[in-house]
Amino acid sequence: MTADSREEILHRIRKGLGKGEGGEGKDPYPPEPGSSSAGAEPYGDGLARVFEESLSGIDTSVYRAGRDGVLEFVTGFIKERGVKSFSIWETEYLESLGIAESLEGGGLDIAPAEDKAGIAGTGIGITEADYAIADTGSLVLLSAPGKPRGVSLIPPVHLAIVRKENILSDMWELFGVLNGIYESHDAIPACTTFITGPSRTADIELNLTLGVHGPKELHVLIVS
Amino acid sequence: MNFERDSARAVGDKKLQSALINVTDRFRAARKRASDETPGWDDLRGRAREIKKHTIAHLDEYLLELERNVRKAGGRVHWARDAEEARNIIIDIARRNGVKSVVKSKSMATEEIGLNDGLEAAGIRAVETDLGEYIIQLAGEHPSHIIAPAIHKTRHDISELFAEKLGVPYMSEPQELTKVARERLRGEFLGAGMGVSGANFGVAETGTIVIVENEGNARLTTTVPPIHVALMGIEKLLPRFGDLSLFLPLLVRSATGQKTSTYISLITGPRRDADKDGPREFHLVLLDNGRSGILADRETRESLYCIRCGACLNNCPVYRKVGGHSYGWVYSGPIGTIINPQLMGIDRAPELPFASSLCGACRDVCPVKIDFPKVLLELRSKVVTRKEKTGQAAAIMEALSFRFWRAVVTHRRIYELALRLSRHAQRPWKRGGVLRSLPYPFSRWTDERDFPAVSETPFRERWRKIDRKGGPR
Amino acid sequence: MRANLFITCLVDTFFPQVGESMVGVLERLGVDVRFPVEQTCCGQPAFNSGYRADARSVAERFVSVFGEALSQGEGEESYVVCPSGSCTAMVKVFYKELFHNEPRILEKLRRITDRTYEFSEFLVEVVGKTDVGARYDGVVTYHDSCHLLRELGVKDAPRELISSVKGLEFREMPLHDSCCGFGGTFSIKFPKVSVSMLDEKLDSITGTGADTVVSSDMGCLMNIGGAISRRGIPVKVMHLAELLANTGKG
Repeated sequence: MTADSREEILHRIRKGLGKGEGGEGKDPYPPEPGSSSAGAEPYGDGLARVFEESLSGIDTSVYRAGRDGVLEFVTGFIKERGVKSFSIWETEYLESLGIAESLEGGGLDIAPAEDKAGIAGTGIGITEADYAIADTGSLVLLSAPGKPRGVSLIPPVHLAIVRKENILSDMWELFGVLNGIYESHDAIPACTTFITGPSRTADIELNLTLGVHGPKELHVLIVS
Repeated sequence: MNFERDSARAVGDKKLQSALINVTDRFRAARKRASDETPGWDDLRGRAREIKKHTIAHLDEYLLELERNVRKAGGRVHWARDAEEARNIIIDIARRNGVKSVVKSKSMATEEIGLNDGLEAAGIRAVETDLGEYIIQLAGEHPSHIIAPAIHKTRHDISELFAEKLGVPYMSEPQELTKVARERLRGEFLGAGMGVSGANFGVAETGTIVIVENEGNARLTTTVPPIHVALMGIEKLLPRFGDLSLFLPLLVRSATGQKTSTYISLITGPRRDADKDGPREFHLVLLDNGRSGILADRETRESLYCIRCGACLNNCPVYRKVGGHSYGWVYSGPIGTIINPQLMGIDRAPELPFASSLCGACRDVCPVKIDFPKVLLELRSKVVTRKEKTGQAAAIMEALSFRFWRAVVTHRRIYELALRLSRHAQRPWKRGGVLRSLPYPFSRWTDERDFPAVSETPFRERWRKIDRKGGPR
Repeated sequence: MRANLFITCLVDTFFPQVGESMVGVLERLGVDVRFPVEQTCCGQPAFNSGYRADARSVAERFVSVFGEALSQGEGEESYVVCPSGSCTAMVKVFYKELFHNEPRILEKLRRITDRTYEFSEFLVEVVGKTDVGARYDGVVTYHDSCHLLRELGVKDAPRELISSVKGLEFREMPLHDSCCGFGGTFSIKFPKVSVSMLDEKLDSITGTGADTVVSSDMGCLMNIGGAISRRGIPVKVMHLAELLANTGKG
């Protein structure tokens, strides 16, 4: 039945477009979507500053640390919140910082990514953003075996660590970079997520309310 | 469907009127600010239109490319000719997997196919998880706005609804109400056997579907349950992955005026083997349901360029007064006036192409520059052609009156005679230079407005004097 | 410079003083004004209602009447000038739709549309005047006619003309570019919606404290004026030509 439907829909479309059954071969290229209209990239700390500014406009807290200060920051951040458990991505970078071990050593439980109810019970999810977009204040997270999607979504607080060199200027630049990754089909992640601020809704009388489904709080640590 | 009756009711509903002014003012101002702040906005709209035009002109090829790439990523693709077939495909996937309950994120396409009722009839629970949709579902209603489905409800309505349906105490703060929904729906997500979403875009080049949202419920719907089914109208395609860098900002800025939405998910197939979460199965259902018929008409084909941002609703002076429910079906506002008749069949919504003052405010804000007035005028002529064939008395009367009018205005002497006759004919109704009440159908004007009287000396008679005074020309 | 008046059936029938005002302003500026007497209607009512065959036959007549008018007066710049954004848009924009399968008429049409102007646009763009020597002691607000604004893209010309009138104070109304609810037959097909749109427009007008509302289309003004007169609202309703015809000298 589905096979028939496929043929029938394609037939209807071709008939509607006035084409033969084989199609006529598409135009070599669709029109170009254009490119970034932004000026020259700010150098030095410029992009990070733009990124910080964008985040402050969308109910997100931003922090800065050097590589050496990350562990101390995260430990302090978690202590302050008094959570009992957390979930965290297993990326090379985060592992090199020893965050998971240090927190477990401090008596906190790690919820395994497979356990959704477990993640839901944790107080905080920690990720490392693959990219960030300065212009919009967005984090870009690519799913992978050590990078489950639930960590940035299910706990009430999300702490994202952004390495300064991964901050891009705008969406045009980001899609240029992603295009490179997506070029090989095997390299396309099951899910690429853009996160810009905490979960929000305005469905009741257009009143802004945070944390309706995803995290109520988003914290971003920029590491230089 | 009865636009005249339902719109008149909406106009008389004070609560609805203030909600509509609130929502349209807010979205309007936000969109304007966002578009003013985006360099080259108009040029971006023009490019987006060209890309959609190209995509629709090659829709068959791009659909096949999309299908190929979704499969390559491990997903399955289904083709649905109409609403019933789409429902059956989704119900079938649920049954084969023993699914008892389904969570849904906001999707106009699932509204269009009446999925919730279909699932319920098959013994499968369907829970809407977008806060606005959840409220609407509890109330047993339908969405009234593409972006803000429950704007016609006040916090008081929602508090009463939650108290009645969820057994919670009355609370009026949106924060508290939102918290109740979050807690209830968390349980639903964790217990659901399947998540059903729509899709804002489908990218042919990579087999990726894109979901834009602010709440995170679509992320939960497409991450937590073991099966994800996405329902997508066949017109939602984009050729290349890079096209998203144009279309995402256009969509979000036109819709809510945010620079970008809180969440955007680019989903390509099910979870990979070693991934620790995400659905094990990914199904994409491609929905025709009348779209290929729209495509067949060159004059109205551009209706398929729509990316469902809702900007035309927010900027429409008619929508602002009548709200979403007056349009009688899933899509409302200007986009509803053009696609409802084309998707449902023009005989089932003949009033809608006329439910516009042709002011063109929608075209000014449309991110793909759909020429709404042009399409509406095209559809009006179709409605008339169809009606004339039915031979109904009202249709014949209307056609005859236009035939009569034509005979008058194509002959100057008859036109001038008609002017003289109407000067006399109007006398019984004329009071102080205006007509205060006229018989039906003109009473529809004079019930609340005075109508000008035909002048005792029309311009053409005055001209003769002016001309004489000015000497020979 | 010659202006062939395309007076519109509304002005001819109901508001002849608007036509006289137009003649007055144009002649004051030295324009040679003509009125092709064979003209009647442009066909818009039928076109907007979906009766294309009827609209076509009326429009064809228009094309021949004004084609003929423009061909007269050798050596003189000759134009078609109309006191309505809506009727001008019908000719300049929608005739192309109506005759898209008829190249013979399209060819004739092109010669007309190139020379057809709405009144305010004609004064500013062709005659090159914003100060036409008018005087008006009052507070004026302006309603944008949808077709003039969005089909023809004319926004500034009427405002420049109004602002140059001596003794006048101009106040922009909120929602100045929102439809008044007229929309031709829309106003009697859906009277409740139409009047509800009109209510908001009236609030917008009275909120400015203006004593006069001006526009460039008698369709809009018939709608706005119809409610103003029914409700006894103390605001004068005026076509731009009437405002500009005022010289304060009797």
